Amino acid sequence: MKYPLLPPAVRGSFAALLLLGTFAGCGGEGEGPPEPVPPAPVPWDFGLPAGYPKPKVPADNPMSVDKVELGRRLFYDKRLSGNETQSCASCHDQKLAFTDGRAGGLGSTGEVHPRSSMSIVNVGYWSTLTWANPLITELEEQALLPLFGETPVELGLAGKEDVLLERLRKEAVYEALFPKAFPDEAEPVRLENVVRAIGAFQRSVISYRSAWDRHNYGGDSKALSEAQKRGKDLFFSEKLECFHCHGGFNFSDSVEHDGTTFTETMFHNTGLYNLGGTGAYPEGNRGVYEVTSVSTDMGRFRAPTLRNITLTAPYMHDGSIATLGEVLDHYAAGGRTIADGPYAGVGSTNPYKSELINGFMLTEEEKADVLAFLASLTDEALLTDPRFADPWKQDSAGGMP
Amino acid sequence: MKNIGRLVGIVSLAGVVFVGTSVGACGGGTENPPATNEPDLTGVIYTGAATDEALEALLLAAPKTDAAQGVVVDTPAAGAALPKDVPPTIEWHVGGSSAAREPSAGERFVGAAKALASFWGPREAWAHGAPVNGRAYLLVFSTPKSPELVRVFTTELSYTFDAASWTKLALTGEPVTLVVTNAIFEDNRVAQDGGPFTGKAVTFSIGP
Repeated sequence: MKYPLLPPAVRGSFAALLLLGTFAGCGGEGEGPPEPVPPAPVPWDFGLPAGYPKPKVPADNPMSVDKVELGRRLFYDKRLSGNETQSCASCHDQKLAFTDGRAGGLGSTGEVHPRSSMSIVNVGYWSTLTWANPLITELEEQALLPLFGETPVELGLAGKEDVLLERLRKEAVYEALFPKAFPDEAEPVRLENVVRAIGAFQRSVISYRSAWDRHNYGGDSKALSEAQKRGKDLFFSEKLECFHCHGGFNFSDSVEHDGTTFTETMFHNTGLYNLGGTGAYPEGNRGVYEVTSVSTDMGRFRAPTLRNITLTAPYMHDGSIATLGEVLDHYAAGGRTIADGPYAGVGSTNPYKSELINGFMLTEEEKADVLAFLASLTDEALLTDPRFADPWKQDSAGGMP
Repeated sequence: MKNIGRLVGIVSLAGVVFVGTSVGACGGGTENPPATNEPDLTGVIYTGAATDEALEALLLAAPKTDAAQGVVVDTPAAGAALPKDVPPTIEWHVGGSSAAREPSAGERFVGAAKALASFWGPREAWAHGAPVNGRAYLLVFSTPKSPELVRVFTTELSYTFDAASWTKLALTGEPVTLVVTNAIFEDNRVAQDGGPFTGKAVTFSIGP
């Protein structure tokens, strides 16, 4: 789910939907008998351990058990693609930490996205969404991109908004869930509520049970191996500098939560390309530059979370590095050198490269230790957590375990 | 002989550099006393990724009571008598996590290696690198006549005494009480619901 820009047409549509939603919410002042007061929504419990931050939740989209459940249903529903072949989960597979294992996402009509599918794990903490767009800050807004975007087509629902709503209204599960999730609304099956519910579900998907978490937050003295502890020390050292961009509880920068008072938004050029020595990145994949047209934004992308990183290959924004070991080699070299072909260039001399990417030396043993540490960030419990699994399959199997 | 002389010179120079950098890094002895509204961090030994900013935040925060978040000391056991001549390794875990257990052979080896390395002395200042995210632990060793005689602030789940600090405790000839206070941090600040949590005290003795 990522786009270089939120198209103006989509922004306009969303604004109109919001406006319609406002008016719709004002209706219902009839003369008949008073409607029974719906029960108050049950607030969502993130279930996080002590000291672990809670995501910032928009005031106009509070979390509730029913809304998260509705969002989970929608997330896994192939009726949310134009040709009913794909759901959000098609590119965000739980067992791959909600990625797809591909270099570029594959849309419902066969178009390949220039960027890889980002994990939705801990996405509720991101201060900006997608790989390189500082303008998209809310999940509810971002969800419109894969649904209705056309360059490239992902779920392919542009122009089929009414078709989608009609599909949803025919589903008995939704007939019951939409009113529960949006109890104050007379006609809750609306696009605005579709993206609200999906956003609520995405905020609920939080990784906090890795071996690293058990060690670092849980105080479990046996959670990490000795190799992982050595790798941890290297990771957080000034020698490698990893933690500057992949630090904090989320192993990334540009995060915020319900206790945040100051939000920092960062993007980085890591010297992955340097076409012709000009600093350029490949056309159509130039990072924040595509939004701002400022030369120093060339090749700047967000630092994704390293949580579950062993599961989210291939790596980098375009999936152009196959393994984590090769990613370490890239950073050790201070940038990637591509000897020939259309992308030839010495990334380490990219004039727009981050000042933190200077290269380093690692022995094979040290490299193995760093990789062992990165493996400690895998949250096995998340990969099979029934709260985040496909509810339609759970229905077939007799319900949530 | 010329080579030996050069070697002695190199070792001497290394010693001077080591002492010089240690004194430069520590600086605690010549600093002005802390302002009255700031906690006194003098003499604290930092290990792991612990920082003085995080320690200051811990000491300024109001303690919380939550037995599950308090630290349980695995070694030494309460009432244990520890040998004077062998700086021990202190181990602990958070009450709500795994239970105490016997260390593996590999861990015992690492512990012994740490004890050996401890003779290089404590690190009493931390070059500011990564901020603390997650739990950090303040170990306070006190005797009846010398409260807070040794303080250690660490992000690790064990601490091996350096020879000097252990000797300082051993020379008191008194029983030693250890209290571990922990907190959960986000970028050196105590996180919401992150404590500090004070663990149960453990008292042990140091043998002759």
